[in-house]
Amino acid sequence: MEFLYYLTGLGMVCIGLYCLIFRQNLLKKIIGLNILGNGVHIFLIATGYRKPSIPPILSAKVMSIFPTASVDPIPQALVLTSIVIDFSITGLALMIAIWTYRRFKTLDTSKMKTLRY
Amino acid sequence: MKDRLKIATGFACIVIFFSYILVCISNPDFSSFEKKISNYYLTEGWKSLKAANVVTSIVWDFRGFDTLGEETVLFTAAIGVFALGFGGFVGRRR
Amino acid sequence: MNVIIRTGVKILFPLILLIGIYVIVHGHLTPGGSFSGGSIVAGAFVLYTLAYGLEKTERELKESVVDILKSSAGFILIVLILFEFLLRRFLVPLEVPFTLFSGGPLIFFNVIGGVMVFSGLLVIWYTIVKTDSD
Repeated sequence: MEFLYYLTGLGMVCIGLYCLIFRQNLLKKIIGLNILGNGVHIFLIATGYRKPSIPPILSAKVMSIFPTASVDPIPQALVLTSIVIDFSITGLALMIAIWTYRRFKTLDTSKMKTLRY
Repeated sequence: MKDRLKIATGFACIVIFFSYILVCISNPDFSSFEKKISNYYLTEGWKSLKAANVVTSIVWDFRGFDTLGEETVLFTAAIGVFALGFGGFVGRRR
Repeated sequence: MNVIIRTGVKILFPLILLIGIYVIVHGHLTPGGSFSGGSIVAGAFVLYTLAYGLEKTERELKESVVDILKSSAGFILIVLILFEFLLRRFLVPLEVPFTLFSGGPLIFFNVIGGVMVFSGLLVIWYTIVKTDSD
């Protein structure tokens, strides 16, 4: 059952890597970067699954069985930080794409291979 | 054709890497919870801080310096976008 | 944008803002916290900009105000995290668990962190909309 979650994460990494390498529009490469990051996040959270799955929120009626029945809270805290960092990186990449368009007058990366200024 | 060979090797490396992680995780000796740090956070978070949300107490209290570093990254990205939008001088001077 | 979208956004904008503030403030009781709540509040302002244009959004929230909010929230956050152990000693003994006043210094962290995330995302959005290309 958890094998499906791992397969989803691996599939998203492969799709994101394919978009990053084989597409020649700059905006499609940025979308591929985003999908790659989200696939790794899904894989990380799926490693913390435990069989009597209770979300890690305390309440009055799960106090007694809490340390042996809840899922792992540490990958959730790390992925929460990583999502915000990925969003700020996407914002900066879009700004750099605007500057590249002003310099080269096109968004096609196969026509951008000049190193002169 | 050499390009395709390199890219196929790259994808095969990714699949082998993920399957190695899967084999390591399915070993019950590696991923049991009794001796790990999650057990310490789940029991100590209620005793020392009395908060109902364990993930929030991990993010702000037990690992607060990681959150401080992440806010620095967010701040730097916002400043970078602002500087690129309203302050660049590439090709405009001299 | 036409009349249908403007009428819908006029009804939805305060509701989304209210849900975002609720998720931020109840961060120590329910799942959520500063990052999810800050994203929801920034999303409400992005929706308002898409429907009404940039000038009307600037009347609701000016860009200079967002800049000042971001810098001051960052500074207060640094001071709070470095001196958190003092705050914890004074606040934890006198509180009622499972209510809004529990959780020690977590409610201050959630509110200030929410302001920081929301203003950071809004600065990025305003700059991308204001620089016009081609």
